[in-house]
Amino acid sequence: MKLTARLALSQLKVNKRRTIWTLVGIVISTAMLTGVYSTGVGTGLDFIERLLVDSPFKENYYAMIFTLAAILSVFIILISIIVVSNAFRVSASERFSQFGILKSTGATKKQITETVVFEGVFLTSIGIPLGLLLGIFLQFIAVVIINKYINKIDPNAMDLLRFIISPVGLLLSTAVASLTVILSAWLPAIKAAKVPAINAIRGIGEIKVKNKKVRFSKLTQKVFKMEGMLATIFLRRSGTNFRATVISISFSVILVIAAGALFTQLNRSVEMAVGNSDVNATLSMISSDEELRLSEIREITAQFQGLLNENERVTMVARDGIGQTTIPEPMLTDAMGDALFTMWEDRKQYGMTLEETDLYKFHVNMIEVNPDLYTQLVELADVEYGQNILINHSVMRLLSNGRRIEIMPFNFNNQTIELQRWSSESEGYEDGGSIELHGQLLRDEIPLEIIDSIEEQSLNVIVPPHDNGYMMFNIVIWYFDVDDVEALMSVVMDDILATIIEEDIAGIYYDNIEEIRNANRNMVALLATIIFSFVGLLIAIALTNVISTISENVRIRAKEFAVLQSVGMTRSGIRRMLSLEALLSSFKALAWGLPIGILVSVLLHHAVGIAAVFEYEVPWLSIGSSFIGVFIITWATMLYASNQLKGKNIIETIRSGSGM
Amino acid sequence: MVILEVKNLTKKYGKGDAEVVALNNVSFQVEKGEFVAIVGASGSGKSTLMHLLGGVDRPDSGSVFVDGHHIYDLNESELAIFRRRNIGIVYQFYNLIPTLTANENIQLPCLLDNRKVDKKRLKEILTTIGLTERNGHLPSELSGGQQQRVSIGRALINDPALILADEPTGNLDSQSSAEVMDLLKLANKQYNQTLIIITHDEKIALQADRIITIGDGKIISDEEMRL
Repeated sequence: MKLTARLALSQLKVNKRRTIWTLVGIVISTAMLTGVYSTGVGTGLDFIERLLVDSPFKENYYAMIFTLAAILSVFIILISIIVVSNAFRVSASERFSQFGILKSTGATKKQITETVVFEGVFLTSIGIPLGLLLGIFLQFIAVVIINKYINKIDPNAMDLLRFIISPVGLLLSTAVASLTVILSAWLPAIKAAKVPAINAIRGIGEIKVKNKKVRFSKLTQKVFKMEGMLATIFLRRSGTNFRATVISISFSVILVIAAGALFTQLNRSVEMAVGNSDVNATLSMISSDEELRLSEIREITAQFQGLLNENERVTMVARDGIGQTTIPEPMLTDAMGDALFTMWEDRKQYGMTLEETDLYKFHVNMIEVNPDLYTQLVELADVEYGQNILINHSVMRLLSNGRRIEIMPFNFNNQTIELQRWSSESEGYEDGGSIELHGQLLRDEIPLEIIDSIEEQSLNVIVPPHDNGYMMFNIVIWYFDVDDVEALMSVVMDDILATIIEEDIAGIYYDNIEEIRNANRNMVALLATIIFSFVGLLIAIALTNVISTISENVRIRAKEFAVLQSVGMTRSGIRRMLSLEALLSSFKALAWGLPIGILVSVLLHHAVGIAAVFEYEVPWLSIGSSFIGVFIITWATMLYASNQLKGKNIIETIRSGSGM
Repeated sequence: MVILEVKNLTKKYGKGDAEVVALNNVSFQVEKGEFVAIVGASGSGKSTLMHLLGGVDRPDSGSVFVDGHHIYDLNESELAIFRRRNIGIVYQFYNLIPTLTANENIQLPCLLDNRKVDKKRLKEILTTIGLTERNGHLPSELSGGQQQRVSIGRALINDPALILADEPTGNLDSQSSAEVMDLLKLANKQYNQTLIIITHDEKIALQADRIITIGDGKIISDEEMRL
């Protein structure tokens, strides 16, 4: 073997601990790259080919996979570079005296560079094959888990993804990983080769120290005393050594907060989509041209109620929606006016034309509910039984980005609404009488089942149950809160609904909300698993760096500790000093990581925005756990490292030259 | 007044066949204000002796009394505390904390005691060691001689019972060596500081009041140079 290679190898052997941690970092990042590339190229392309053969969107899916893989790679490569280049920097700085001797014996710069680069070569030759294997394993697990979740979401979907190893993917990850490691080794190598021989022999440059003036607050002095002062001085003046550690920790903190925020977003939007009520099934009946007979509907509702237990509930919401009215401008709130305007501007983008007058034409829904619910609402709205209640709430949806806007639309003032009713005979709107608004219900007072019925740009009124055939219900929805959905539904469909006259019905639709909710929950769980696994692995890479750097730092300063001891510092004093260094570095890392992490979570909130405008929630849990995590890790590592120094004899350490 | 008493000090290294007896039943006394040089060839045991005197190492048998205190009765923490208050040590290499300025390095023994340094004393010491201008510099910004002077300053700041110096000039050029020796002698004469120097250099040894020669772990001779 070449001399330079042999020197590199012996360097790796000498510092086993750091070699192992660096190796672990390389293995994990290679594994992640392999996972991403092999899954993308192997499983992903297979998926597209098999299931989207005829889809016109095939190009888009290719692009999507490519983009996703690229973005993920960037994260992985970034953290790998931070970790691996730091490992090489430390390794090179340790060997300065060796380089000095080599140089004085006649080694060229190129040869010195080689001794460092060869370290990289050896590490990749072991790390990459291991990483590839681990990566294939990760891909396998990913495919299995995703398939399992998809089966939970939709039991009819057979194994969607297939475990296919892609040779191209493996080659790609090998290339990227090797390049990353070699590049990370290159810069420190070149720097090392530049140090003049004499500096190298003297050992100057191991720990870079800057002469900064350090001031202490009275508080620091009182509380942390001398160990605190020494810790502060060390960190401030030799900051560069801790830089990589602080960066790694900050990076991890940012990742944790961002992932936590993303997860919260997903959860919230899923909740919004399905709602949080106890309703676990709905049955919808839509009328054909003939109106549904009110008596029949009430009869059916009574039958439903007869089937239920004490703790089960069914709510009937029958809607007559063939009326319209023109809302006088003063009756609209400012917020509603603005929202309408926005909505119509938004619609115009899609080619819909409108007149100014269209802004004020509102669809009118008259809603009848089952008597016990009506009684409750009458009490809430503080009106008398038999009176009409305005639902003062509105939901608008923008087409351009799917955002939902919830607003209080009307300035309620006991108005009387002039109604126009659609006549199928004349195929036009005719005078339909008027409705007096006796009371109102605001957003928080409105039951979820009724909110469900609110359409855009509509005025919704709850009317009392009465036998006035004048109401033409065109849709009825029953909301069930029952124990056994399937059992109930079979009775409902086979027995009760079979008695309905068929001409009246355009369609009966049944939704098992429970199933939908579960499917959504599983979807979120799947995404969460993927996100957190990815983030977890990235953090693992960062941690290898933290552990190896901190223990490295302690090792390098063995002499310093010995001098302190000889001047009279106790061992516990040294440990206290190290603990404080850990504490202070943690603070520094958090000072960077937390604000940036929160910023990222805010950005995510804007970007993801999706279907609803819900308020930004500060991801306290993530913040809290990263806080705790950071302290535990730095402190534990310091403790572990300082224990390494325990057995050393003060005097031998001082005399042994550079303490190695 | 006897400031240092060494009784039957023995220290061995290694085991069985590889066992080396570095110090073999060494005993002597030192009076306050004496300047003693301990000489011997390499491997004679003089360094071992110094480490034992400073409490940085423990003997296999025997005792050391500094200012009446049996230092090996103390546990490690107590010994550390005792050391910072009563013994000043100067080494041949790497004495200073690289991240502390000269000023801060000098104050180290006081800082370790959580005591504030008497400003007057600090100024005095800085003047004595001749580093008033460069006191804000880091060790990396000082020459070898200057660094050694800083460590002497550190050894002096607490007004210790005893100053131990292990080849203090071993790493210095002749001018710096002379400066450092002058400083140590000044401390000895002016502050009545007891000074024990380990050296293999005869020229250095001849500047002392008394020379103890060690060979093969035993005291070979113990001569007063001045009367």
